[in-house]
Amino acid sequence: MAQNKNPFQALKLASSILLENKAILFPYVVIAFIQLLLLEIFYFAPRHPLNLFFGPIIKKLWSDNYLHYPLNFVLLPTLFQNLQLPVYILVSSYFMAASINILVAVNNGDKLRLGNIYKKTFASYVHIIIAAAISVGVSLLFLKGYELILNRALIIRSESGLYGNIKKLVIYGAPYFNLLLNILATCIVVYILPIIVIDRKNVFKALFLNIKMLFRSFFFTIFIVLVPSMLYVVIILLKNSDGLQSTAPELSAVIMACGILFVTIIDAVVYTTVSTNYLLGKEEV
Amino acid sequence: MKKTIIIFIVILAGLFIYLSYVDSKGEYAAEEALWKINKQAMEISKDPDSVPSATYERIEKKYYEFINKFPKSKLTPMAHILIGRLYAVQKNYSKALEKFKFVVKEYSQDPSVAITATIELGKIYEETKDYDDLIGTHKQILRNYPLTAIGLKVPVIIAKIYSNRGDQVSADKAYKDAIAHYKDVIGQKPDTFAAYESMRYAAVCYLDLGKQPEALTLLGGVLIKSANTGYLNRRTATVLLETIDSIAGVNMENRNLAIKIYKDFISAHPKHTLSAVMQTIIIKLGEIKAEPQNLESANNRK
Repeated sequence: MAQNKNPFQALKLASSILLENKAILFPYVVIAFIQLLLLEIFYFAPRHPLNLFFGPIIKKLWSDNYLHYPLNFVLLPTLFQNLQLPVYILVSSYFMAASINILVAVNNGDKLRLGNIYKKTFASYVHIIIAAAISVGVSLLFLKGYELILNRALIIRSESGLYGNIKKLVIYGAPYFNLLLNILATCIVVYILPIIVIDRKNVFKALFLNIKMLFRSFFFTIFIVLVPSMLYVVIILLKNSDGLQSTAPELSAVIMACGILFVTIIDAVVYTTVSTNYLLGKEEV
Repeated sequence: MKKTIIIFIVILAGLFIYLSYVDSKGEYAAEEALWKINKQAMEISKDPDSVPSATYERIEKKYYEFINKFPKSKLTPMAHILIGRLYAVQKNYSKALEKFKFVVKEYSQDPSVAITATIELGKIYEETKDYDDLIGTHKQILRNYPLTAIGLKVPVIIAKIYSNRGDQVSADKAYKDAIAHYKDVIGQKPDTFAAYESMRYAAVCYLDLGKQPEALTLLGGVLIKSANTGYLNRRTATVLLETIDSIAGVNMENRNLAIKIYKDFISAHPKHTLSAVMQTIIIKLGEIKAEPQNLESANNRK
């Protein structure tokens, strides 16, 4: 099969591969389970018996107020995000790499021996976690950059006219700009993991090849990441609806759980598309 | 994979159910339940007259169910107070008074609860213009909880109640009694939160009696004596400095009195962070004083 130059066709092909070969989805199911389990633990952190462990930590690092209803839901996203970074680097990236290995096995028509696949993936574990750390680093860099722009916008005194409109755009558009920056950051490093897994290269060579791939097909890559990521706009809209959350603060946890599922789906589609396309490109050569 | 997904769902759901059940009678569950009832109560209090009595009864029932479910919770006294407030919103003042009096008696060992309930009693008496009982409840707080933040404020509040009613004779007597009370507290508990608050409230009394110099002296004293205590934070310092400036500069038209206080502070606490602020204020006040002189000499030259 030839490599797809049309990003929509590439996404369609990857989606059908995922649906026909559910084994590729399995590592993402594990990622979603781990994240939902962590969210559930933090959800119950202010309550007995988990408050015996989390109570002193939350009191020390934040405040006793966050151990009470409903303020605990204000702290919940912070707690979850703080742990999500190491979990992504150390655990999720491994399972994403395993998923790519399963895809390779399916593509080659090999018998699926999951134990061997996980062992094979573990052989590149150090490179995988460095690649994940690089990915997180790039995202954080972009987000910090936006934070500087946001802080500058906050000190603009105009409420109308050009500067006033810029201020409003930067402040109210922050969640959407952050999503776009995340998409851009993902694009910049999206090929590293497939190259490490498929070509069994070390992370630095993979980084170099990733940049080459990106220059070769920048807009194609942007579309592949952008289109599925638009699903996350639903979560942003739900998070921004104050009316919904003031009715029942627990809804913020439900929205976070939906966010986990959406991100898992987005990652599954994006990485399957990128890996499939990379494999097809190699076959052409 | 289907089997694994089912196992994962069972683990997540099972953990959720277990952790919810284990703490179902705990303090967090009580907070959650009371918050939700309060949310409904706040909705109806936006337009109390348009709410049918059945809605009030429903919310009242929920509060009592809460009290039965969580009898030992720290929030149970608050639930009683909220029932009293519900009666007050319905203008059922007799039932509200009965409920608040019950709370004061039942939870007399817990000052914060008893004071809250007594304040609610005061609000009802104020609403029904029962000033004798209003003053009576304030005196009750003063008697039982004299050194709490609200207890310290009570003598001034009593004097202001008389003043607002136009009873200047009783107001003046109440102010003098308040000053005597505060002097007692200052003498018995020097260099404490109670002493500093007493000095501040005594200054308020002197101001209301038209005795600005005495008020200024007391406020200067609070500033200097509490400099190295937790009492003098950004908020209290701002209020004190603004009040001193207002009394000296506006009421007494003599900014030198304020400058003297600031200079006394600087010499007593040269390394205090406020000393630099006061130095700046002294310079600015000096500039303000120089301006009328500059204008005068400019006019003379013309």
